[in-house]
Amino acid sequence: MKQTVATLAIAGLLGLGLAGSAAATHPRHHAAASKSSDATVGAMPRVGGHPDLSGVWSVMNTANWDIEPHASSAALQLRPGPVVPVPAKDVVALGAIGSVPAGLGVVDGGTLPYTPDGLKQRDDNKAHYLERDPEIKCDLPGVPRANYMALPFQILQSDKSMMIAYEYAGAARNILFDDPGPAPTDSWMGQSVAKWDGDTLVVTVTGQLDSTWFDRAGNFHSGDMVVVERWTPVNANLIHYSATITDPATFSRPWTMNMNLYRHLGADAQLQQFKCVEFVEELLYGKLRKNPLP
Amino acid sequence: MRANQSLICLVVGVASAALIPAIALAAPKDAGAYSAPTNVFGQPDLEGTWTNASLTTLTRPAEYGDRLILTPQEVAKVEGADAKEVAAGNAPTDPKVKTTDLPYNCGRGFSGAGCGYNSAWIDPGSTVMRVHGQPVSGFITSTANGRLPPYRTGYSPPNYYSPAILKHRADNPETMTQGEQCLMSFGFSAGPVMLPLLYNNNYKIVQTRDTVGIWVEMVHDVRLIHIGAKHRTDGVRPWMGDSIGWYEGKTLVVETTNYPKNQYFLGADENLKVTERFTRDAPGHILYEFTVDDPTVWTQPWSGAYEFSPSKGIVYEYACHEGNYALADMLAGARADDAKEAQAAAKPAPPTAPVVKKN
Repeated sequence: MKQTVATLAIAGLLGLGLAGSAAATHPRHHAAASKSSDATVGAMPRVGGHPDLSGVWSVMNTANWDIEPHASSAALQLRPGPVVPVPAKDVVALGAIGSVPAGLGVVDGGTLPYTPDGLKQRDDNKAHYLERDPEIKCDLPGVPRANYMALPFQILQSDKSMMIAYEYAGAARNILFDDPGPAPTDSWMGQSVAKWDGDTLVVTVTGQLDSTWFDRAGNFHSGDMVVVERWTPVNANLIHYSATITDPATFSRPWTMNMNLYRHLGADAQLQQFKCVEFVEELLYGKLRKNPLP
Repeated sequence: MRANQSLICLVVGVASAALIPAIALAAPKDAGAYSAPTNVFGQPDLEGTWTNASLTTLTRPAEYGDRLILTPQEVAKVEGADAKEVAAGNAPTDPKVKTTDLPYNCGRGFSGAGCGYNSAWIDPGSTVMRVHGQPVSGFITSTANGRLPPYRTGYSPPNYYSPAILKHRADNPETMTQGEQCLMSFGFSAGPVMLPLLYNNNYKIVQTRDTVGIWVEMVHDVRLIHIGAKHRTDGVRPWMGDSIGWYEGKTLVVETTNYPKNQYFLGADENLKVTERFTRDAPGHILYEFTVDDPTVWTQPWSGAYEFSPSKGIVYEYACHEGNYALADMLAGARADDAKEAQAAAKPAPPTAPVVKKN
């Protein structure tokens, strides 16, 4: 009995240590996690012996604008101005709504470890943002981007299975606990194979197309990218999320992003629909109308 | 009633008793012995990956008259004809056939440019739907002939395929079908009522304490059913409607209202109410019963049933919009036709021979 207690205590310390080490690389997240570990908030409910992550979740950060640290700016795409860069012509009318909110970034170390060619491509993407960001066309977002868009998502988990429904574009992920082997073909959301590491859900995502981005800042990846997500419940209403990206074709080394996911509570815990396909028809097909709008 | 006669139980009653089909398929003989599985939450366990692929359709073909159950010979005919079509579709294509030879028959009713959807693409299933082991001639059970009930007096169903509508179909992207726009499946795959179609008839169900999620492979739509909730009253009408549910014994009951105006189902839309019942009443199956009610369209509610079977694989991603080159191509084709028409109209009429007057 004493041995069991001692083992649990050690495991608890190890668990705290692991959680701490994940967050310690990014002090901002460490602080956020500490603050939210309020004793008045209970532990995550459990199902089938594991934390039950079911519910509606979202981030409170600006990673979807740019996963690197960034100051606020006038627009997602700029052009040279007489004094300072100004919004590209196509977004001028949006005014402050089209501007970019500042963000602390979510990448460990702050800067993405691009290869020289990768960095050139990212900068070119940024310069041609309006033509290239797949989000503009309402394309499926891929992983990890789906998890930190401005819109929430709902995890559905039982003791046997799990899926994630995203509000953005009605995207969905089938979280597989039985590894079916390599994905038969690449897809926008990839193939997610999960296992439990203690109370952390570890999901390895492979088979993603090279067509998705990380954010609205042109940060991209290749079709060889492997994403390992770690979903660690901190308390009933908070999940620490990390994703380690391995993509030698784009980055000089693997890198990790960290952030918090917050539970939507009460009446807010209802996923709405954002089937944006119909919203982009004018953009994609407007010129093909019988009578194009002026 | 002897057991072998109880396979079809004719319920003589009022069809408007919404959840009681006029022709009910009796439960299997060993129904009492079957103990439906329950999940960790104590709910009837519906989880898994399921399919409703079937050669059977919602409405019964007229040739079967008032018969719900097919004979073995009729089943063999239907399934045999399908197998023949599949074999023909899988046969090597005649190398002499070129696109300039279109249209030619490529099976299953497809010809010409429609041959893009040949046997390699489609997967509607290869068997007649069995309900409680009995091969059925259609899903509708509430009317004797398996057809829809009469329309309400004064109701005129919209004809989405009228020449007037088709003429202007490709004027704008919004006037193309929802399937062509990749907004929803081209049939009614997500429903509700969830109905099988040409391919991708796969569904994954996950149950939590307070929600049931049904991932519909077409078009990666997830139906979220809120257990114990009330219908929304805020005027918002989501795609696939607003589904609330509850458990009755071994059955999940789902009621859906608040359909959007543009997700019409056989002519019904905003006033539509669909009640679905998912029951594990036999090993390896979910009995799926549905009742459709819209007093502004039909004279009475109507009902039907089929069974979900386990799907052999997992649900894969159906990224329709992302690869939707067809919509742009169809619109561009229509604009090319417009240009030809304009060119023909602008061309001066050919000169006519001078009239020679006879003196």
